[in-house]
Amino acid sequence: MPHGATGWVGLATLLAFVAAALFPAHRLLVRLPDRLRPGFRASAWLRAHRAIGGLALVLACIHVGARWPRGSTGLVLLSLLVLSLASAALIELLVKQIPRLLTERLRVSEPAALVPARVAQLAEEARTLAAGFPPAARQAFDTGVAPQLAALRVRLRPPAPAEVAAPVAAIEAAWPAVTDLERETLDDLRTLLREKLELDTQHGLEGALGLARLAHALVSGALIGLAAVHGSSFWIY
Amino acid sequence: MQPEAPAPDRDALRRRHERRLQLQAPARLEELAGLPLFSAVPERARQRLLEKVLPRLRTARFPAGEEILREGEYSDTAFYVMEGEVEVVLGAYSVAEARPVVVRHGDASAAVDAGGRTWVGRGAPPVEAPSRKALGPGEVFGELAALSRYPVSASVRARSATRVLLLKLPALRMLLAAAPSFRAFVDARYRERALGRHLRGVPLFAGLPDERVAALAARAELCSFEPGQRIAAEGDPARELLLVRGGLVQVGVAAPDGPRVVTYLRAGDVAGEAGLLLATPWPFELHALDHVELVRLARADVLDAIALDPQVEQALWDAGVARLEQRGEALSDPGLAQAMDALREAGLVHGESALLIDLATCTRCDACVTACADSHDGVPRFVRQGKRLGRWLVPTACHQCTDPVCMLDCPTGAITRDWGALEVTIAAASCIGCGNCAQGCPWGNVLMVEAGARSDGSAQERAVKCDLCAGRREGPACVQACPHESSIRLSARDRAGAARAFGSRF
Repeated sequence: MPHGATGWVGLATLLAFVAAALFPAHRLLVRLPDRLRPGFRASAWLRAHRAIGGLALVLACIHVGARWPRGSTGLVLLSLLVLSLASAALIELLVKQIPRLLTERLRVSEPAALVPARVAQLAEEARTLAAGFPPAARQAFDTGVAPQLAALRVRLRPPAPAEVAAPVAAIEAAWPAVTDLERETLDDLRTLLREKLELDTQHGLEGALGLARLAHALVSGALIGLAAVHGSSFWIY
Repeated sequence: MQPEAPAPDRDALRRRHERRLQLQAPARLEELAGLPLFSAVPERARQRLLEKVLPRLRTARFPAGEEILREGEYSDTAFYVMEGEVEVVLGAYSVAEARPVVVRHGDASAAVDAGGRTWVGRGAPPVEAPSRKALGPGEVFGELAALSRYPVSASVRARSATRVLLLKLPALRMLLAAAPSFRAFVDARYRERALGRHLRGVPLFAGLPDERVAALAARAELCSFEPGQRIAAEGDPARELLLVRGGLVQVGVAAPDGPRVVTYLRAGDVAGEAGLLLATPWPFELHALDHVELVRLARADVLDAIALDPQVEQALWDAGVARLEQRGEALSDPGLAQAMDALREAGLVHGESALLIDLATCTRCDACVTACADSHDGVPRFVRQGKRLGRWLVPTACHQCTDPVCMLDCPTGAITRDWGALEVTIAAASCIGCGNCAQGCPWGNVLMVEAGARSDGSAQERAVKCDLCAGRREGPACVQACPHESSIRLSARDRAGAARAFGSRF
């Protein structure tokens, strides 16, 4: 049994951490039969996750008596708690900012699973457009545009107009005399390049949010594991 | 408790569909010109009309005993008997037989009637005992169901070897517009067979005695409008109540900066309550957005019918005041009118429950898609991709249209909507994968997926679409699974909901 009030608060802290960690389970609950499935919305689960996480933090502070922890275990637990809080705060920030960025600054909105296929399609379309270029323009395409279209990359900011315009302007400059029809082809190429860079940005921003979530899950998992070891050691010895 | 229904034989249904197609042949111009059906069209216009409708006309030969139309199914075709005789059977199936056993979540959804036949259509209103009527050459059937998009009200079988002309809805509309006497015939039939029932469907008249409804029906005027045509102008004398039989009506109001959309009216909706009570001019401008069929009820007739019924009068006042409040909102909030406009552009105005995703809060986690797949045997019923309306995404998900065009061309009646239900469902066991519904959906919201192999070894496809997770206690899984409340369901009827969704966040 836990020793005294501190021990009980420690146990409550651990239980609160475990309860908060159940948040991802809401995805699995969808598969349960009607009668067994709790009727809460995922948003309610998320609110509960935040509230229980906050409660766990308060309980942890009470447990240590607002003192600097003693010993290496205490220090590691504190570090993990700080990291867990920091990653949660980062997620909150990203969840607010990333959708806004994706919506207001990007024209694309491709489901993540379809992004690689769309990138490959864009590269193929660009190659088809470039097939009819004169040699000098083709070389400018190969060095300036083709590498940017080649593979999905991680970008964290939306493409600036110059980033799209410059490589295509280089092709135009290498072209001896551009007709209206060829200018339309270059416009198409500019559109393809912009879409590709936007997909890179979408991929990067979604990836950043995914990484923050992963980091939060790993750190919080480690925190719960170590807190459990810490608690059980007091219990056993 | 209903007995468990055996799954229908999908191969047999497919063979029935293929046989139906084999029975059909393109119509020939020289043959059509001699038909009495077209003699109602003035001679000078006849040739031009025939050339226009020819691609939409087919003939079909049915052997004696073959079923041509089945009670409860949806149809977009009118039939004209060219040779032979058909038998119209009203109430051939009891309600228990006609209503399908609806098994949710993609399982078999079919019932077997007393004769051991698989019933895959939708239920029909109860009829005491079957009544039969024979129709010979020159007679028309199926036109009311095609025009109103209500379920077919009677079954039709070939009594002898029969040849019929099939008129698809666009051809039927062209003929109605070109032949006043044919129009009068169809209107008379509608007045005789369906108008009373439709008037009863209007909450205002639901409690009136039968004789008053019959008197109203007798004096009602039936009218049609082409897409874009003005039905009523703001400021015109309002001397009638309009009941929408079919189609979509835009209700607008003039503002200093141009016309603004107030709301939309669909089958079963009424307009003109305020004018009826106050005898004021029309406070709105009404426009037909597609082919609109209206029932015009004169003010004096309606007031006669509802006289001495204070409840009905109160309901009329409530509806009139609500409509005038909508007008005020549209005038004071240009954003709302813009949102109503956007609803129409995105096709959402047809929807009873369309999925919208707020991209400004959606983290693209795809929890909605995963939840949808988890609720439907691993096959998601929508794609998180589609048209953008400001910060809203309209995903490729069924809007559950008020007037679902996907139902019309389903050869097996696999697509149904239960009475009073929002969701339009596809019975997996009855779908033969013909793809008609996927092609027919104007928004591409019906998806074709692989469904094993046919008995001959070839690949079998089947159509799937959002069914609002029918039968699920908490409602659609996509909405429940979104941790950021970015997924919402919106009905175009729910003007307040649209205002909430778009008013501040559009």
